[in-house]
Amino acid sequence: MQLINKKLSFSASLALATSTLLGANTQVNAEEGWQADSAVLIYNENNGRVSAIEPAVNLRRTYEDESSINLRVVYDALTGASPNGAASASVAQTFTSASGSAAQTANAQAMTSSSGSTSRQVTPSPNVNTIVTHSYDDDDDDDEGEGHSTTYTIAPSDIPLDPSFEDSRTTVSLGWTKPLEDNYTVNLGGSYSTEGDFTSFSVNGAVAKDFNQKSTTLSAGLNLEFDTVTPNGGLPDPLTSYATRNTIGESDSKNVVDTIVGLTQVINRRWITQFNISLSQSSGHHSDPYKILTVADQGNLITDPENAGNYLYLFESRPDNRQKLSLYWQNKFAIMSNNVLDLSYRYMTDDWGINSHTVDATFHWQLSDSFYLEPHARYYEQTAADFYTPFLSLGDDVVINSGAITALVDYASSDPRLGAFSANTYGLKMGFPLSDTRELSLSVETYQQQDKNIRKEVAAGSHLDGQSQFAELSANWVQLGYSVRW
Amino acid sequence: MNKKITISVLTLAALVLNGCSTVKPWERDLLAKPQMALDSDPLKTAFDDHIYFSKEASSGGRGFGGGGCGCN
Repeated sequence: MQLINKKLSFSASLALATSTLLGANTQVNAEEGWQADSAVLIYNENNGRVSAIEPAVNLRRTYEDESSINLRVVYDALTGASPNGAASASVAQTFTSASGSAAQTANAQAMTSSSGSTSRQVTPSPNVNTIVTHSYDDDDDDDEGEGHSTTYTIAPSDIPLDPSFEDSRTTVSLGWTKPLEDNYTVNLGGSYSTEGDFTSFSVNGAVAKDFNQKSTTLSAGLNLEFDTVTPNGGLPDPLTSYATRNTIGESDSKNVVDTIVGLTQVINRRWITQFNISLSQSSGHHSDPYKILTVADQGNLITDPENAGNYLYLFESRPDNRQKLSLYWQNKFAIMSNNVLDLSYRYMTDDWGINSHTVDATFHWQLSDSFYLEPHARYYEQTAADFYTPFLSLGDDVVINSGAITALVDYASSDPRLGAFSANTYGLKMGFPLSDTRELSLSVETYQQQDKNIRKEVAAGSHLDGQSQFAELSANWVQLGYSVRW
Repeated sequence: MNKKITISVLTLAALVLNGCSTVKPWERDLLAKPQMALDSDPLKTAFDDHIYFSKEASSGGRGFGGGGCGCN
């Protein structure tokens, strides 16, 4: 009887191995019944950037035949400041967030113009903090319930952060797993998420087959995702003036097809390994509607020829397609009777020119029946996208003829996420199993990026000389979790 | 091209791993422990993956990456 139990729970852990491919939320639990996992994440970026609170609940019902259904709901509330993509400069810079209607934007633009021209004549104090001006909307157009636009001024040498970043997101996912005859398992799932300016819908399916007395599992899965972006203030025309704010419509879409094949193998009594290959094909709108780029002449900010009194910034532009290939290899090693080392490596390459390496190590250290520690370390590095640049140069990337702005490049973005950087994460999870069916856990993680971009040369003494060209991110997060089974 | 790579890597992996002796059911006591599950804390994994998805250019690998989000 004991042997049967062990076999059962092991088949469950292989089922888990497969289901990690499926994007589903299976946990090791072959026993019939319910399992509820709940957690809350508190996320904070340093220097007043984004903070978020995310509660999540995962409910799972397992049936006698080992089939299961899974429901997950995650709510995500974000506030704070996010880099707008403009370069840090030795003079104050004023921006208007696109969170209002066209009329308000025009209104705010007027304010921008006046403060913009002032900032060029007066040498601003280096201690000027971000000045934020709100202009409120009388007729609420339901743009995230905000209905106002924001003008903000960035002090000299500060990284331009848009302080009006605020959003909430709800995600609901459903999954169903069923073992079939001949050692096959199928999984079907779907997910829907909605936030102020973005909705996403996805469906996925996967099939897995066990071989060699369940020592080997081969699996294959497909995920289809349909996204719609409806930016506040409309979809900006790529590589045109930020102050003019030409739009090309209200919303646009993006479709993603992900395929994944995986192999899970029990090597011996203490070692299980998993190898996945995944291919992701994304087509449609990829540009970030809120990201802009500075246009500089020999490192100096220049006047927008279409909007006197404003510096020239252009909306970013990304390709309409992206193809990514990922290789993922994970190993779990049992050490002594209760400790486990988890080592994984991921290589990712895409046709935007980004290559990345991720190494992750976690050690499960069981100190007693009612307490364990899990120290965690992760190293990540990526190269920059081909079209990543901290700013555009007049003459090389952009020309101005008789007051008309013409971009010479098809694509450009200064989004730090597309730049070259490395990042370290260190974390510690503390687990408190309260009984066989209940567990409490607390984990803390700290994350730090390091700039790896080649510095773009600028003229000595210019506005961009000696300024940061990359906004390194550092963040900390805490997660409290509670699981119960009945 | 990618399909070819996929097939050859999987074939190679299957050949290599075929050499492994099958671990008998009664030897699976350690493998059956919850901490040996490939994803032993799915909610934590999901939170962490979502953070990395919104701050880095890579996602997925372990499973389907990220899910749609205006954050990226």
